[in-house]
Amino acid sequence: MHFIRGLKRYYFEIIMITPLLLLIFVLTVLPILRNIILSFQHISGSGFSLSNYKHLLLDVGFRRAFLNTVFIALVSLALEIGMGFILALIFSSGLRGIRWIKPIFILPLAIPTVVVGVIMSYLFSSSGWINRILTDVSLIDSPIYWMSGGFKSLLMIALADCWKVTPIVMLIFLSGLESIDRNLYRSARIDGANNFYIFRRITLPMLTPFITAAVIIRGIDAFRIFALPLILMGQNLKVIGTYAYLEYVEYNNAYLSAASSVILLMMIMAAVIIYIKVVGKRGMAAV
Amino acid sequence: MRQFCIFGILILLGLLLLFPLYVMLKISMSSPSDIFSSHPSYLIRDFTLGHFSNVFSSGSNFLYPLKKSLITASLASLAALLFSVPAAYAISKFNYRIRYILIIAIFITRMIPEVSIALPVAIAFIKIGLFDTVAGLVMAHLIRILPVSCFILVGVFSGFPEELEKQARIDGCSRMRAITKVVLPLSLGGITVAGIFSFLLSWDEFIFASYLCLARPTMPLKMYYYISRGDLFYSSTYAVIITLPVLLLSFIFQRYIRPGYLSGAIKG
Repeated sequence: MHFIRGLKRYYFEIIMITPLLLLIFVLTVLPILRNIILSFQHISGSGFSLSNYKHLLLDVGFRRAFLNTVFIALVSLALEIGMGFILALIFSSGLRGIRWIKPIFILPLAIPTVVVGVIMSYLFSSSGWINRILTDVSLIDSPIYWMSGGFKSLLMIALADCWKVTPIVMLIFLSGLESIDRNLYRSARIDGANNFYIFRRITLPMLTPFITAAVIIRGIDAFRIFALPLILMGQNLKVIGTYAYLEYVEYNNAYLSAASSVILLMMIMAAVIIYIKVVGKRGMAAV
Repeated sequence: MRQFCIFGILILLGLLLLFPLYVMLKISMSSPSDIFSSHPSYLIRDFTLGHFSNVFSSGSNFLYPLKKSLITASLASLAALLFSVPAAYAISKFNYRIRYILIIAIFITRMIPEVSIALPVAIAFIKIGLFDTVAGLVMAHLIRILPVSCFILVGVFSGFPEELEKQARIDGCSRMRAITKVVLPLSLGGITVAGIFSFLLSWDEFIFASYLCLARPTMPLKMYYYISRGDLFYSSTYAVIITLPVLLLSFIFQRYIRPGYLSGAIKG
């Protein structure tokens, strides 16, 4: 009954939105289902099989790609949230003339990710500009081989991601800070609260939904990272995204590729759900 | 004094942030001897536009990717508007609960890693002959564009004064007429902005393109080809050509984009 009333009331809106929903169904939902089915098939037969997942779990290369993805996601997310937060606090402080500097800090946002990958390869190559600057200010004696794999390369990818993404985080926090009523600060000050107390009791709780939004939006993208590791490291250091891509393009194994991308999807969903659960509780405690 | 310190740090940090872009420009405008010397200088010593004229005069090698990227981006942004304008209008009219569910549902499609959509799409397109075609790439790019253009447009239509639309209805317009004669003309600015951002999202797209193109690459793929061959000058020149329109247009139109549109949607 309720449903039919809704249909009558919104029939016009439903007609307007149906094409989009159909398109999203055909271009996103169907492919995902197809991808999941693919991941349970094997090259040799068409029956149900877990062999792709078994292969991946036993494959050292995939386990390394898994750890690389988690490491890059955590490091870049921590750096981006931290720096974005500090920058947002500085830019919302209302210092005179500060709005002239702000565009510089938003600029990287407008650089396409592929281009960021290309630029970072100029900067981080062994004869590149990062090494050049570090030697010129005599922080290092011999060049650092950023692209030689291992920890240094993971850090390089996280830093490259940071350069591009911190502006978005900063903008989300800025809009959060601007949404806080100035009168709250004023009355807290009249009541004799100090800066730290105001920050902990007003700014932080009011910002919580924005922090949640930033962590979720950026966290999802951090797990999906693709262009930067592909351009900077290619075959030499894989994350799950590039592992899935190379498995299909280089080794022509669509089934393994599908299985690894399903694992990536599960990781993202798990991370989002866990985060919402944890923050949801703490958010309630703050209220 | 403290203020002075903060400014100093900010300006230093700003210069560091700009440095990568400067390096891109510098490589694309320096002669090879300037870059490959054992101790290259920070400034552009030997300025040249030779790399650009090389790229522009490389004929179909440059023109085909450029054409494919431009056509794909134009068609993709038009198609995106065609689907998301009515949908976003409808979303802005639903009651709070349905609106919330729809926005979250569209947001969830953004959560899916591209690699897990691109693979089955590529396999299907090979079967039905859309692989390596403009039409196929346009459809794939819609996957990326639609959520974003929807979010922008929901913002546009939610901010539209309801009184105006009601007035048109009272004066005897049908709902469709009220939309085409009142709502759309007055929202043209916001719709244009959504179209421009849709264009840019297709113009610099890389993942779907790398699954769906082979003999006929787009501009980002061509740049990837050069950088993986280690060609500094061609890759940096392509990088500049790809980046310039994105940079200019985003800066002109960035104030129309509310950065909190997603967080606002989540907060409800």
